[in-house]
Amino acid sequence: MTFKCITSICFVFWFAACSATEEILVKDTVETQYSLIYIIHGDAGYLYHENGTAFKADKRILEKAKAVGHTNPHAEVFIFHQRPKSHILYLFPKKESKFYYYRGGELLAENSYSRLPVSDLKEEAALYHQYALGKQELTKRVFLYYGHEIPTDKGRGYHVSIPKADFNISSLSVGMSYFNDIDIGYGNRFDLAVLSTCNNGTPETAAKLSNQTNYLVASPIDLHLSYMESHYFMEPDNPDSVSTESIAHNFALRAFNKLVGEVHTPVGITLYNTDELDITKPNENSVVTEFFKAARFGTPQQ
Amino acid sequence: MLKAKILGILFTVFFISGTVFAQPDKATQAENELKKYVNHVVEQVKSTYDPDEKRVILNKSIGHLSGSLNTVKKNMTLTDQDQEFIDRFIHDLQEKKDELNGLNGFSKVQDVHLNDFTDYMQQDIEQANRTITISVTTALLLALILVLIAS
Repeated sequence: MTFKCITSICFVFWFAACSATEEILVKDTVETQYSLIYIIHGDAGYLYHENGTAFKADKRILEKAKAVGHTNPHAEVFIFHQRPKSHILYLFPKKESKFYYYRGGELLAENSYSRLPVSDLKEEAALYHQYALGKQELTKRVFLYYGHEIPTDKGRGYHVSIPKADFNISSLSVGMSYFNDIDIGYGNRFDLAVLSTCNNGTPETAAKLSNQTNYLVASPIDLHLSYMESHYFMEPDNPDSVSTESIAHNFALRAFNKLVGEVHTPVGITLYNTDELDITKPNENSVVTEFFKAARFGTPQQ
Repeated sequence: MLKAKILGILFTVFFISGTVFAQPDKATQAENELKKYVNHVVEQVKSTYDPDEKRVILNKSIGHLSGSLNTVKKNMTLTDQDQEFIDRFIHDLQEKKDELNGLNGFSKVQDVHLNDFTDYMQQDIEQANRTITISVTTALLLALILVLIAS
């Protein structure tokens, strides 16, 4: 009897690992002005400390993204938390990552999902298309990526639990394209992309992502794991009255000011207009604004 | 009897999978050990009011970190990537020591700024690039030495 019970429990785990995504009834809400897509990478080491307290950067930014979803009634917010792959009893693949969908300030869907063994964003994009409002109903689409520096090429081992998969700026660009499916009416580019990572705020990165976003906000130098916060999107400007460039500028400025108040390391955030880029010769001409604060320490006097 | 054995194996595997897979990978564990060591130093510095004592703690800790890295360097055959990481880390630590003591072109960190300097040192290590991009074995040896020093 006990044997049968245990065997049944194992099968329950197996079915749980393989079950299909639930259909969620989506409510009508107030006018949606923003579609925010958060990709939060948690498949690596993200420990950091603040006043002696230990934090996991991915978990902390997840809570802040959820706060945006709860607070902004004019946004639909997709949050994808990519977590390390794992198995139950070494055998049954577990749905390791989490998806949250907010609209009108309410959590309408919460699912576990499994990333593919290759590191693109296909699974995330599929969930996005399942719930997203059509482009015609939206004013601004924003893509936010939180994680370690994305390599320019190769990038094997970026996802620690998928050690054989490469992840780099080109694969990110391909991943973003899955969200920008013209055939199903979501438009061919994001209005704004934010890379909250180290060293990705370069003209080369902006050039590589120019097919996927109109504006790019990213750091050209190291960035502390407390990240570029997106609290701006709790109460953002009304997109009917301001340009995308203003929205990008105001987001970057708020994130910059918060970082400057919190860390002693240098802080740099750059805003690119990718339309101004010559893809064959990426240079600084496409920089709209640069925010930079040097550190008090770390520079020799002579 | 056979059923009992199977049940035993199932429970053991379940227990191991629950405990093992809940843990981060070895390289991340090693990286975390380094960050915990630095945090321990930060707490020690901040709990002391005497600036001279703060400097002693910082100098000693930077020395321990550099010493651990040199031990790894001397005792292992390193890949080019490991070598580059360790050399850069040792260089960064030397610069911090120079700044702390006002050497090699750096202005000496003022007593009143020692806590901020300690935070700066910690935040510099905890940036959003991968702190440890070295191989697992090298990372583990480094972590092991740090644990021994801290204990």
